[in-house]
Amino acid sequence: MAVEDPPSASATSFADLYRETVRDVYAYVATIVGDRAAAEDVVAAAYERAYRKRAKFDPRRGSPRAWVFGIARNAALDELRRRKRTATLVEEPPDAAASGDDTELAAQRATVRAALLRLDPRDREIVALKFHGDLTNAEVAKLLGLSESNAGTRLHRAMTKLREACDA
Amino acid sequence: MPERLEDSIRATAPAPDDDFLARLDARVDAGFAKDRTPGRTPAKRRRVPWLLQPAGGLVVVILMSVLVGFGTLAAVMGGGDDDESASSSSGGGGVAMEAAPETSEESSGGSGASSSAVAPGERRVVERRTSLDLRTPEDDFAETTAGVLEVADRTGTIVQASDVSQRDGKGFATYDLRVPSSRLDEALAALSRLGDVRNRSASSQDITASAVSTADRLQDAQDRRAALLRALAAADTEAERSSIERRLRSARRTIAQAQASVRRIRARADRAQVAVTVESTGEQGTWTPADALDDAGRILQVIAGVLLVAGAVLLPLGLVLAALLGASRLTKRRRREAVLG
Repeated sequence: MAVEDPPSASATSFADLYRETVRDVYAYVATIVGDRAAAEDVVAAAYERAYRKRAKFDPRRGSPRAWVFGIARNAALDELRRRKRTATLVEEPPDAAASGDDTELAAQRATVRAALLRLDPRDREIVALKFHGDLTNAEVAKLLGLSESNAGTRLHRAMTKLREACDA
Repeated sequence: MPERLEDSIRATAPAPDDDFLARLDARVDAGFAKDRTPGRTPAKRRRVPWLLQPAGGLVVVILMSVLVGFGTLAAVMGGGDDDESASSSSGGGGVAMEAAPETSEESSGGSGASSSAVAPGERRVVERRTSLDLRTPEDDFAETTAGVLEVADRTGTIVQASDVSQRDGKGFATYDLRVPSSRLDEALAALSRLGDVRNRSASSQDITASAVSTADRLQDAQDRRAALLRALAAADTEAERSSIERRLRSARRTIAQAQASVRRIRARADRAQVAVTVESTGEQGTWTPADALDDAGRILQVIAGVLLVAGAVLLPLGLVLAALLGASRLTKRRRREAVLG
């Protein structure tokens, strides 16, 4: 499905949207929720909620991808509130592509992963939206209720902090 | 060469478990059929109860507006099925005096007053009486009775007495009118157009002789008073003066009575007495395009009124509701995002 197609058009188009976004949504949710099982619950609930509300999707208010991320974000924050605990990301298995040959690359990624975990949750979220969710600055801004320039500034600061954390 | 930070972040994105993806794929393909996995979904967000209160109020207001609208509409369309009766009477009578504009001697009832004393060429004084019986369809009764009063207003007629009663859809009304003689024909023509004329009778009575004799009587009394006043001035003795004064008092009484008689006669001549009865036939009138237009106009009027009232109620309510919703969303968002702090 093309991203621009409304997900309400048919169940098939919704399935296409799901297949196109599910890995990124999971990565984003897992990053802010910090728990695999919880992330799975949240992602499943988010897609179910999106499916039920697909008729209400308004393409004028954003892309289907951003719409799904908005639902996933709400579900993730609700889950965090419900559990009353802060997120701690479980250790991900090392990247398969980097595991064998390039130990230096694997070490670099492990550093980045650890640095990401040490970031402030808001900074971690904006980085996850940008690089795990692959959203544009405009979409990130709309999702977080910020202006686009403000979102860009916050992303820049978060990246600077992350870079510093990696170098430390 | 080290990997770019952005690429490293992308590469470290947590990946979903294949089993989880397979399960979710199946659920998506099944259109999330009612197979919620118990205990696996986060608790459903609770609705904030106070949000429902303005919404409920809005629904109640809308329902009430609709009910009021329909009620008013029914009242407008239904006419008057309820018992209804009204009567009024007003005293009065015009005394602005002019001679009767024309002399008519169609018929003469009753008094047998002689006109022989009237000099030839003198203007005749005539009292006119007319009765008019109108019948009207049941649903036009109110309109017809209103029409009688409208004609009265238009022609400067005095409604001496009226009685309107309506029961079980049938109505009966009587009016005792005093129509200016100069506008009698116009008034009768207008009244006749209000309904089906079942009976119309007119009579006139020449009261010229009475008018003349009353005027003469007044003149005589005034002459007598003048003579007495002169005699009083010339009286020498007290007894003579006292006798003249007694006769003067009597002459003044006679003058007052004669003047009242003159006024009464002039009033009879000035205003024709018209008795109008309006009776509904108990039948529905034919529904003409004019009626349809009239009904449509009234319906639109009522609808506009209802919309205006509803708007006056709903607009502020809607603004309050919108403000509440906005505040609620903002609060909810802040509360949600607080976990990230």
